[in-house]
Amino acid sequence: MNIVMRSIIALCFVIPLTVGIAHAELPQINDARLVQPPPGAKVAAAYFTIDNTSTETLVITGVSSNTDMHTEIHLSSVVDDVARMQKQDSVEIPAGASLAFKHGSYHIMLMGISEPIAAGSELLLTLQTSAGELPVVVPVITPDEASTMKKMNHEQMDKK
Amino acid sequence: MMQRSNPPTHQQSFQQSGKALPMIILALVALAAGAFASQAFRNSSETTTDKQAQQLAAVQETLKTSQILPLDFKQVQDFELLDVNGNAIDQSVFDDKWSIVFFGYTHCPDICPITLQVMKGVLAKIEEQNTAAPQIVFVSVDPVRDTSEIMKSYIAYFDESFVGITGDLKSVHTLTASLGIVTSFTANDTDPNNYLVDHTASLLLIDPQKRVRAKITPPHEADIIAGDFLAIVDAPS
Ligand SMILES: [Cu+2]
Repeated sequence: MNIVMRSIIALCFVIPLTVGIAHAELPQINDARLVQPPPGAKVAAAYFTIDNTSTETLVITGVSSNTDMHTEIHLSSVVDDVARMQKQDSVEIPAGASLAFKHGSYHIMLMGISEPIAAGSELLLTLQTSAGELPVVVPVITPDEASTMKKMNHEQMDKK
Repeated sequence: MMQRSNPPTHQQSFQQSGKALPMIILALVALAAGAFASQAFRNSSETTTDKQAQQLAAVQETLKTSQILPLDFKQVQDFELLDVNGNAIDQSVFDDKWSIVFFGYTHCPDICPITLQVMKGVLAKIEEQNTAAPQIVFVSVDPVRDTSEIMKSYIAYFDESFVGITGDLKSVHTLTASLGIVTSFTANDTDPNNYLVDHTASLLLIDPQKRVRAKITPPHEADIIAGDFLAIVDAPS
């Protein structure tokens, strides 16, 4: 075998390997939070931003949590002055794109709260995705902290 | 006017002599004058209405998120429901004060709590302007799950002064439907207790005569709603 043949054969192994690494790059999840629900509420919504840094579309197909609460992917919308939440079977995030789970849009719906969720505590969500299971640590914050966070985000946006 | 109240006498005098004729002419003139007067009155009331409509249209121009409704559009109908203490509450809760009414439910974690949070901000903004703040009313569109007890702790978390209305599903529906509020229920296949409720997103502004004066459309922001409220309260009615 001459050197050229050897190099070609070697490349055949190396190229798929590097592509494989690019695929395996895990999506980045930031700004995870759950605004403490009012006492008496049986439901809560968790938010975060997910950056699909890979070269393939990321599909989120389900969600579970470390609590006994029932969790679903929801989308809130206001269409023709009707506010509505709809369960989503899956959510797609194109390669290189990011999607914010946020107020008035996508959220992780937690249902069947039996004990009060304390601000300062954390909750663990697991997203089932096309890139495997993604853990999300969700800090529970107060509504005041949430509005401060919103203001800061607005200021960041203004600077841009 | 005497002849009218006593027609037999008048008729008699007419039959007895021709002297009655001037009286008849006088009566006709009076009638004509009356008709003219009422015509004039109608004209002036029309002008008032037109002027009012123009003024309201001018106010509408200044509003950012509210839609002024005609003064005779809708009024709160009589109802008998429950407050957050489980006591009877009726239409008189709207008497003699402005109210902003929000239709929602406590199994709504994304939009409803934020709207109540915004309402708290609206009150603060209006009070800053030294104007009497409106009453905030939260009507549950899901009264089966939203018992008075749940409504009470939920509302108190935002502001204890907010009025909560719940009760029998049919009676709540009669109230919401009469105000043009739509609600529809979506079953949850995996968890029957966690059905979803679609509902009108707009808030309603009710005046002290219980008339629906404006629809406050989303997105809801405290500064903007407070500004619109102050403009509408000052508008002619
Ligand atoms: Cu939801």
